[in-house]
Amino acid sequence: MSSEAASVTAPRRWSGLRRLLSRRIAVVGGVLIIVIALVGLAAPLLTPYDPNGLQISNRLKPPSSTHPFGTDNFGRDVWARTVFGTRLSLVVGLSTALITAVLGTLLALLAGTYRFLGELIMRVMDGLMALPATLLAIAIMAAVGPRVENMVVALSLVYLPRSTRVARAAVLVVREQVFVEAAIALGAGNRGIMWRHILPGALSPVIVQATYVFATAVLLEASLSFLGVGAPPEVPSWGIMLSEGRLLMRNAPWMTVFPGTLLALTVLSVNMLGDGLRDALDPKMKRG
Amino acid sequence: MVAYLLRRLVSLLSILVVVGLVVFFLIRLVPGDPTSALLGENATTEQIEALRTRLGLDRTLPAQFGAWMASVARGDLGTSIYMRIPVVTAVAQRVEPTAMLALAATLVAVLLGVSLGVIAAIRHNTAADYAVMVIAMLGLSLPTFWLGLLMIMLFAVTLQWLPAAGYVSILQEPVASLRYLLMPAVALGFSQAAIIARMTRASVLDTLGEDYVRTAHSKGLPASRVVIGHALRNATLPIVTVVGLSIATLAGGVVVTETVFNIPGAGRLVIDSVLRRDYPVIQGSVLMVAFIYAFVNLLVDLSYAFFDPRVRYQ
Amino acid sequence: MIRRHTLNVIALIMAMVATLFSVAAAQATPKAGGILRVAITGDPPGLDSTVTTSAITAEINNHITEMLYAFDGDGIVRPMLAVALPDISADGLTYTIRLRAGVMFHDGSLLDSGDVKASLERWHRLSYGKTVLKNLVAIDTPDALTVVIRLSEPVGILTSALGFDNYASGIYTSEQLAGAGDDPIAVPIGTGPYRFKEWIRGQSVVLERFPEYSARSEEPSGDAGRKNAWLDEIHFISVPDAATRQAGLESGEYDVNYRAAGEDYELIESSSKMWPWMPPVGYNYTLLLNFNSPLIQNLKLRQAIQATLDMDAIALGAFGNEALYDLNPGVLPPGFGGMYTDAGKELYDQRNPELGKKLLEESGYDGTPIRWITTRDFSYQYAGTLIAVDQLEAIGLKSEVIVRDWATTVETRSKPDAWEIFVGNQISGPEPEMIAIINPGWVNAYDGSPEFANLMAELRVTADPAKRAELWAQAQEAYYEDVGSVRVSDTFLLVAYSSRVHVQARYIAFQAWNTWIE
Repeated sequence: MSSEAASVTAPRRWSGLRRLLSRRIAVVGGVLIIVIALVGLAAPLLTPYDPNGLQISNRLKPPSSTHPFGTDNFGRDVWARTVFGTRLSLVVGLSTALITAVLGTLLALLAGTYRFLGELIMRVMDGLMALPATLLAIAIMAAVGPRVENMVVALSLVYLPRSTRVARAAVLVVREQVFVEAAIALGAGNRGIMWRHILPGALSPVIVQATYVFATAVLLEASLSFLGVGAPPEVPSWGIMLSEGRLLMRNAPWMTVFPGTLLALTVLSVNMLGDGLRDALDPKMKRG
Repeated sequence: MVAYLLRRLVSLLSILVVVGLVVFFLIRLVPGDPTSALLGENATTEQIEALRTRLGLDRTLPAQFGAWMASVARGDLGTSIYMRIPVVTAVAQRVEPTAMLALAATLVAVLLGVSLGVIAAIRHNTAADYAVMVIAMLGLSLPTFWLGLLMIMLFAVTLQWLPAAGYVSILQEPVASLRYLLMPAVALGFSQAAIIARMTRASVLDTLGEDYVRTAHSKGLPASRVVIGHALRNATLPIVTVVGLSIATLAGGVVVTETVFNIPGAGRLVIDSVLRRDYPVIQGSVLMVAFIYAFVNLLVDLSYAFFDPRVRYQ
Repeated sequence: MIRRHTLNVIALIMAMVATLFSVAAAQATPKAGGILRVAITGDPPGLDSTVTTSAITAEINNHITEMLYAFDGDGIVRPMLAVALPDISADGLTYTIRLRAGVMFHDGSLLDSGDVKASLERWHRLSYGKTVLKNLVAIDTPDALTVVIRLSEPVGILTSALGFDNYASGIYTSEQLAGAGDDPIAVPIGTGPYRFKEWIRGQSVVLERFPEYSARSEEPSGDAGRKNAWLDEIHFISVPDAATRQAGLESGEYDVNYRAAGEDYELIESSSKMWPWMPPVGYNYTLLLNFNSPLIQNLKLRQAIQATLDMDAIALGAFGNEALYDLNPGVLPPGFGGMYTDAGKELYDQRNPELGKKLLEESGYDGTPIRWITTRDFSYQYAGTLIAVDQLEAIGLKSEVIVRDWATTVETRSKPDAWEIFVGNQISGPEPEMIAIINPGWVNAYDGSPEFANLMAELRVTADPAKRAELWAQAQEAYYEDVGSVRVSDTFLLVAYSSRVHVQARYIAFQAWNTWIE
């Protein structure tokens, strides 16, 4: 999310896909994400256990053939909770990335096209951004309650101003380009310029930013759980697993090691993909 | 330019009003009030009611908001309900640990990020490049609190090299202070190192491709001199920009790091105050943070134009 | 359950033998000096325990102030600032209390009857004194060292209330009380073995030895008897994160982890670097029922819950180790004071889902979800809730678990129509009148069936111990029959000490006197 300035670049043409595929890091990241997503989708097929099935007599059992990742302090199967936990992380990360990217771009285009509205939008965004992110998320979660939808809304509100700023910066740069000025000179309408010229030009930083939002949203979900305002109890979550298991890091390390590793792997893959995207979409990196 | 600055200053004021409104009503949307933290859970209904009246919490929200805004306008951020000390004092006491943590973390991030980035650029498109970048990104991928706890387990509990938690003022005991700061700074800085490494790598690669660097290289200058003398120097500006931005994003990690390492910083103060519903502290500290943030933003916007003349003030 | 009890008895004996050994070893070489660093759970709301029921405030305050009486390790009331137990008139309406002469406050002034009068009057105005001294006529001071409390009706627990930690009837100087009024006292001045030195908000409260402390001469036991202030200073350091507290103890940052996690019990016990300790008076871990809800008003439904639950599973999941809880039917703790009874035991911990299912059917339950309110801020509340919900869903009781932060949960709990069940620790004590959940005054108290209410009313004005025990046994039986709340277990706090720290007497609550450090 801090690559705002970095990802602001001149427009490029869509030869990016080939370059993306030529970047090994991006390919590895992309493949990993697909695998993780498949694990999440196929979760019920991968384990016979209910991720929320309590069995106190079976608590804190180390990994074994029946429980490959062991059991937690409620006797729940850690493998089942880990694979089901994939869903929450991906849903939260993806929804937040999509919402902030779409809304952010729309707001930036509006701001770039209509000056008065632009001022208003950017002031509100500045105001939102001036609120500390973690605090904002905590306050919203505490106010509306721990539901997955609420979490997505809270995280989207946290990241929207950043996405809008990135898109806005990209729009500003594109609008100064010769071909846009030419279009204006030729008398093209505001809306036409916005959709036909500015949007495609500003898209790549937005996409790159979206991958960072994805990655950091997954992490922030975990942090919120650590701070006590995470996912509801019936939804298996890596963040909750980590925060519940942190008191048992020595007695039952399997409670944190597996979800922690998968969480790190997910965020890492998204970041790798994002990095590859950035390189591929940035013409300055062609030599690289 | 002057007109632009003036307009931005006016809008800074409007941001503060927006933030004040949002935080005041958001925090009051959250159920619960300060009495449960102050009186404990076995308090009687009468005790709770009496305290609410004494704190003025039985007045209407607009009345409370008006009273707060009026006192803020006079420069008075109020008094903490829980701690019974002025908000300004409460925040001031917590600024040093947070500032030191942010500073140390940034230092770690820059040292780690720049060296990893340079290595990756020199060895670019080799296995070393990928390995280094993956290591850097790993920092960005680990939840700070988990990394922190793992470090505590290893370096404090098992090896007993470093203190597990706490903070000592740098002014009182500089050496001890650094020992306390090391682990939290690494835990927090590691996450920022990836961004800086990425930027360094790209910038160094960029400048390595420039004609004058290639010339220097062909004139027989050793590779290390080329990188340090030319490429890195020219890559400084974008790196500085990213560092500036990453300081802003440290704020989120600070709260968690302060909790794990028990650092009595400003982030922890805000979270504790939310949990205690200590309204004046939440409002006052958020307003202060917002002011600093908006001010930095203004500088960043100005610097955009400075670095990229294509962006014009309007 | 019986087996568990036997095991507990064995464990208790072993613990007592161990204590004897450690007392013997400790008494050989007590050493004055040093700083004790105690990791506590957070910054206390204040140091004046009269105006808050916060446990941290009470435990810090106990080092600074003293009460007229104090409980010993067996739960028997002993004199502290008073010379002896009060002279009670035959009608039970007049208590005459003689004070010890020459007891010095931290400001150098001497304790007199005016200080006691001012302190008890404030306690009567602002704290538990409101209920205990409901029938107060006046507090007289016939001379400088005599206090007379006159009542219009007898109060069964007055002496206990003037000596039980949680009841916070500490004695302050009349001057500071006049200054504070109903506001909290910022810096309490008491007669205790430690006095206030410094408080850095959000970081630590520092107490230092009071060299002129006037100790009693009796052997130390519980809160009572002689208090030796071996330590120079006590630092109560605020460490909110449980994992950090324990790590800090092990790495040597702290000497005491004042709230250790049950999951770490075995680790602490088996380590040569630490040792565990649990105060004998714990908490009443209970499913609190909201009698304002029509669902809860249904007796059969309450009985269904009572019949079904497996208390061992709930307590084990919540506290992490069997050492931290005791399964017994007593609303009052066994082995502390004389009021423990197992009356109603056949209704406790039945583990009978079939019966539960049958009772639920008879109740005419229509499938409306039961709303459980809980918080992750206290893992034992959250864990116990999840396990109880799981067991009750198996008999067909629908549920909705509402997880919020602690402040929200407390507020929700005070709303009559917002919840049905809350699982948590309620304060326990030596007398029935001290148990908040069965006494009026507290927001969520159980008012009781007419039978229960009558017995409790009689108990409140009865002072004779034998008669009280008899009344309480009947009341507890009535409480179980009416399912006033659903008791899970007694639970104990786990305090982890560094092995450098030695403790000379059996405590009731955390204390740093009669404690020394290598």
